[in-house]
Amino acid sequence: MKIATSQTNERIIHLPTSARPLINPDDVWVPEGYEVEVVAAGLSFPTGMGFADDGSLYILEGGSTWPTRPAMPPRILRLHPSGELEVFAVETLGGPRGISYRDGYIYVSCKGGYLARIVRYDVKTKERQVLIETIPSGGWHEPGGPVFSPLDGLMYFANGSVSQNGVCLPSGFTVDLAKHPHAHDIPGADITLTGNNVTSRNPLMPFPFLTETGPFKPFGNPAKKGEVIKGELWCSTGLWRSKPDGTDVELVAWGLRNPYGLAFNEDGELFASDNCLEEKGERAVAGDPDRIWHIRKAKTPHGSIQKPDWYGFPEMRADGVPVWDERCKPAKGKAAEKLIENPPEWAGPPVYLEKPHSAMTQMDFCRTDFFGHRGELFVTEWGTYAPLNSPHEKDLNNGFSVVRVDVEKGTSEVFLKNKQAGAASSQQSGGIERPVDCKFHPDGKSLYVLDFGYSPVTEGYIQAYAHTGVLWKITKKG
Amino acid sequence: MATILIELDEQTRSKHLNQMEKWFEHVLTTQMSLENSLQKTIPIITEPHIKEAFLKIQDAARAHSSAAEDLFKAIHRSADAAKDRALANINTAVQTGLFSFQELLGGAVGSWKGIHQLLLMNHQAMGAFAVAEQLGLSIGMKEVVNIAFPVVHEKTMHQLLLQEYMLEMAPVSILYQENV
Repeated sequence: MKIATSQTNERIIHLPTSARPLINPDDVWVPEGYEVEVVAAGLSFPTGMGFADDGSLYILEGGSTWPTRPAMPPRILRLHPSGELEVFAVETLGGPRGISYRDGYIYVSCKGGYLARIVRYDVKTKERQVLIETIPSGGWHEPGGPVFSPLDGLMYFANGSVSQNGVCLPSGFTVDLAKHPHAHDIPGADITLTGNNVTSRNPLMPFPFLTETGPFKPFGNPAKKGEVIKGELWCSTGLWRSKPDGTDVELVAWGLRNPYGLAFNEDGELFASDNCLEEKGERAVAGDPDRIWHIRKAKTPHGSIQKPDWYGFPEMRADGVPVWDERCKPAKGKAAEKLIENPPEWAGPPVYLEKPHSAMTQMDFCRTDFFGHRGELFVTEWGTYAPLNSPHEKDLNNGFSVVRVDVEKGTSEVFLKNKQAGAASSQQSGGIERPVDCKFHPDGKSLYVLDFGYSPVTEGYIQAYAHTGVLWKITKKG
Repeated sequence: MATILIELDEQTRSKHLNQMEKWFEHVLTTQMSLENSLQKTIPIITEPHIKEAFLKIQDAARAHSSAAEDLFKAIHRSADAAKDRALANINTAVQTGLFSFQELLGGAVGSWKGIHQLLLMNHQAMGAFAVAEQLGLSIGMKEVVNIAFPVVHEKTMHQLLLQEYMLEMAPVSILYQENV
C-alpha cells in the first residue's frame, strides 16, 4: 500500500503543521559524542516500533489513542533499509501499540475494544493471524509488548488496568463510560473486598444522584464487605507468556497498572515500565512514583507458576506505601480507602523509581559496546499530563525525555531531552514533544526515538494533533 | 540522510484542505440554518425566561457564524456565502417541514415545536463544528482547533439548555395543546 511521502535534506525543517511548525535537532540535548537526526516527520499518533533483523523498521500509528479522538488510520508502516516507506497493514480502531519481530513474523499488540489482542503478520506474505483476543481491555490503560525471551523463546505480553485508580469512575474520558459501560478490572488471584465503595457523580444521569462503585466492578455497581472476587487467567493488570503461536498461556504477574514497556536484557531478565496512580478524582493518590519492575517469575520454567506475583495495583504506591496512608493524601481529589481485605504478598520494590507523572513508556536495553552503556535500559518518558492529573507545579515538566536506567543500581541519567525543560511546544523550540518508544538498530550504532507529537494539556482538556509525530535517530559518532 | 515527510507534501495537503473546505461550507450552512430557526422561533415564544435564554443563544449564534467564516480564513480559503445562505434557507425549509409533519403526527402544537426544532438544528451545527475541530487536529492546524473548540463548548451548553426547555415545556404543547 502506498503512502504519500516527500523528502527534505534540510537539517532544520519547517512544516505546514502549525501545531508543530519546526523540527530542529540542534534544540535536542544528548551527551557529547552522539548526534541527533530526523528520520521522518508527519507521523500520526505513533505508539510503538520494532526492528526486523534485516534493519526494516515497523512503526505503529495507533489510530484512536490519547485522547480517543480524532482517530487516524491505525496503520503498521514499514520503513525498508533502502528508505522506502510503505503501509504494511491497517488494523482496527483502538489500534496497534507494541511490536516485536521474530522468525519471519511481526507480533503486534492492539488495544481493541472490550478485548485487546495479539496478532501476527508474515512479513513476506502479509498474512494476518489473530493469536489471542481474550485480554480484558476497554478502559484507561494499554497493552505492553509483545516481547520474546532470549532464554525460553516464549512470547511475553501484558495489559494495564481498566480503571485509572482502582475503581471505574467518570474521572477518565467520559466517553469511555458510553463505549465500554460493562468494563471493569479483574483480579489475577482470588481476593476478598472490604466493601469500601467510591461515591461519585454519574455524568450519564441528568440530576446529581450520587452513584456508588466498587473495585473490580463496572461503573455504578457497589461492592459488598466480604465479597470474594475470583482470580482469572485473563485478568486486567496482567502479564502473560505463551508459545509464539499464542497457545499454552500462563499468567506470570498481575497488579501492573500500565505496563506499556516490556524489555528483556541479555541475561533474559524481564523488566516492565509502569505509571503512577493519579492525584485527582474520587480515589486520588499523591506521590506515587513511576517505576521499572523486575518480573522475576519470567525466569521460571513455562507452566510452573502456581501463584503469579502481585505488583500492587490498586492498593500500593510503588514505594511500598499503602494508598490509604497519610502520606498519600491528595492535594486535589478524595483520599483513597482500602479495597482488598486480603491483598497478596507484594512483589516490589521496583528496581527503579521515577518522578510521578513522568509517564515512562516503551524501552530497550543497549546490547552493544559500540553505542555505549551496554546493559542499561533506555526508557522513553512521554511526559506529564499535569496540571490535569497532578495539582503540583513541580510536576509540570516531568518526563519529556529518554533516560538510561541502571537496573542493578536503581539509578538513572538523562540521555536525551530538550535544551530547555519540557516539551518543545512549551518553549517554541524545534525539539522533542512526547517520546513514546525507543529501539536500538540491529547494527548497534544508533538509537531510534519515536515521538508521539504535539499533545497539549490544560486543566480542562487534552488534545492530540495528527501529522506531528517524529522519528529521531541518535548515533554514536566515530 | 534525507528526512521523510509523511502526508505533508503540497499535493496531499491541498487535497486535505479542499476536503476540509467542503466541510466548512457545511458548517456555515448548518450554522445559518440555526440562525434562521432562532429568528423564526424567538418572536413566537412568550414565556419570558425561555425568550431571554434564546436571545442569549441568538447573540452567541451570531458570533458562531462569524467563527464559521473564520474557519475558511484559517485555511486561506473563502466561503461561498451566497451559496451557503441559499442552501441554509432550503435546509431550514426542508427540516422545518419534516419536523412539523412529525410533530403533527405526535400531537404537538404551537410554539413548542420551534423549541424542538431548535434542539435538532443546534445539534447539527454543534456536530458540524465538532467535526471541523477533529479535522483541524487531524491535519495539525491549531488555528482551526482554536476557532472550533470554544464554539463546540458553548453549543454543548446550549444543547443542554434547549433539551431542558424542550422537555420541560413538552406537556404544555402535547397535553394542554397550548403555546409556550
